[in-house]
Amino acid sequence: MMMKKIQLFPIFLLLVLTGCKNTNNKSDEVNINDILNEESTEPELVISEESINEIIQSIPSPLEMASLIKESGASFNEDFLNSTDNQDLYRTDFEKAMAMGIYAGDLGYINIYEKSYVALKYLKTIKKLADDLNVGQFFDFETIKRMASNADKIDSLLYLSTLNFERMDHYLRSQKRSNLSVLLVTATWIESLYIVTKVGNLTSSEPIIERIAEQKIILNQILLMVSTYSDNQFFQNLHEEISLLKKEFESVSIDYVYREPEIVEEDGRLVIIDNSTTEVNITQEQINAISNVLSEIRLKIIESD
Amino acid sequence: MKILKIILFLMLLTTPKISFGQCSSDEFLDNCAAKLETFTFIKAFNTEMKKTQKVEYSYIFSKGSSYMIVACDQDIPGAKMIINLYDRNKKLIVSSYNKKSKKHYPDLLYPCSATGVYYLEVTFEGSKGGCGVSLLGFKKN
Repeated sequence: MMMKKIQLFPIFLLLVLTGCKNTNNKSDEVNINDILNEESTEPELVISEESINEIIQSIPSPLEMASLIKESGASFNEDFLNSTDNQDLYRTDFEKAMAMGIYAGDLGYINIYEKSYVALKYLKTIKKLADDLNVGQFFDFETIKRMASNADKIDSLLYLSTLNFERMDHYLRSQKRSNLSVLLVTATWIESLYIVTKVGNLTSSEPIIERIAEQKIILNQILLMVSTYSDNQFFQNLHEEISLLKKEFESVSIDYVYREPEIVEEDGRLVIIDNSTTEVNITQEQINAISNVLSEIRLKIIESD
Repeated sequence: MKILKIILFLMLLTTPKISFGQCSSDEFLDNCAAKLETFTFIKAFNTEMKKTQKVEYSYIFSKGSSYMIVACDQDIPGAKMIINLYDRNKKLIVSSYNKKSKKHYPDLLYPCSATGVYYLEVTFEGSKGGCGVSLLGFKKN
């Protein structure tokens, strides 16, 4: 008996030691700071998995764009969304990951407007696609349903939806399936931008127009991520499509003026007074051109063409 | 007696791992998220490190939004989590730890007026490493 216990020790020790793996591996072939700087993006760069992960993580949440739309006073419009009836059109893993990203963008918009009934419909579709991609474990539909049916829990629904997507994304990346994460993030961004351009065309809200112009920065990160997998035909096609969008953004200018920030303490919290600014220049014609190209790209994705 | 020594040794080995695991639990995350108050949760950066290391995350902040960065650690004196926020040119904007006053700030509020890539550097006081999570929330200005 005692012999058995002692024999277990080396195995246990090995388990403990391998469990304490250093999470701070910084052996990139390319400096992430250079990659993330919008002025230095070279689609031909071959970058490490770790750098790809950092870019994926840096892409803004669709909730931010949706919030801006709501703030502009625009009403919720279900016609902007990809219908859940389309869910059976997506056959391959890549198509399903893209579709899930599109629906995630829609869900951000739905959640910000607190349309819990519509949210449930979309979460059900997302859960189905996630199951097909073997990541359905991150969507506990029963809990989500309980929250959506309780008006007091709408904030929790928003929190849980975000957290589930975060966890699924981390899991995909840890399983060396970053290519799916890239598709998911790319499609989410396309859908958010699509909705914001649709609203922008209707409202002419200045913050919305400015936000559309600023997507030039994010577009460069998106192209960089997609180009990493361009040895695959699906990614190559996607890269070509998004490059058309880049062309439309080329004449949009964003000027950055740096001024030293100030720091103040308020109620035990540090508050940064940001004195730097970004100024954008974009015309209505440029917005229309961006909107048209984007609509075409999105249509190809949602119709799985 | 020998068995007892082995058990004690194993307990010593496993203790740091058990404590590290606590900061990735749902409860730990939910408690931390509550500190975001009225800000909408958008990202969780889990950090677990040993000894003196730094982990860097990046995020594109947008003009017109305010961002709240909340640091949640295991509240071990001398091993608190420190968050440093850098701008696109890697110029330090603010640190959650004031070296002069030796004061830690659990949250940072950043009303952004220049869209771009920002960097969050997470480290721990002292040289023991630690475990924690930093959450990012936002709201419109």
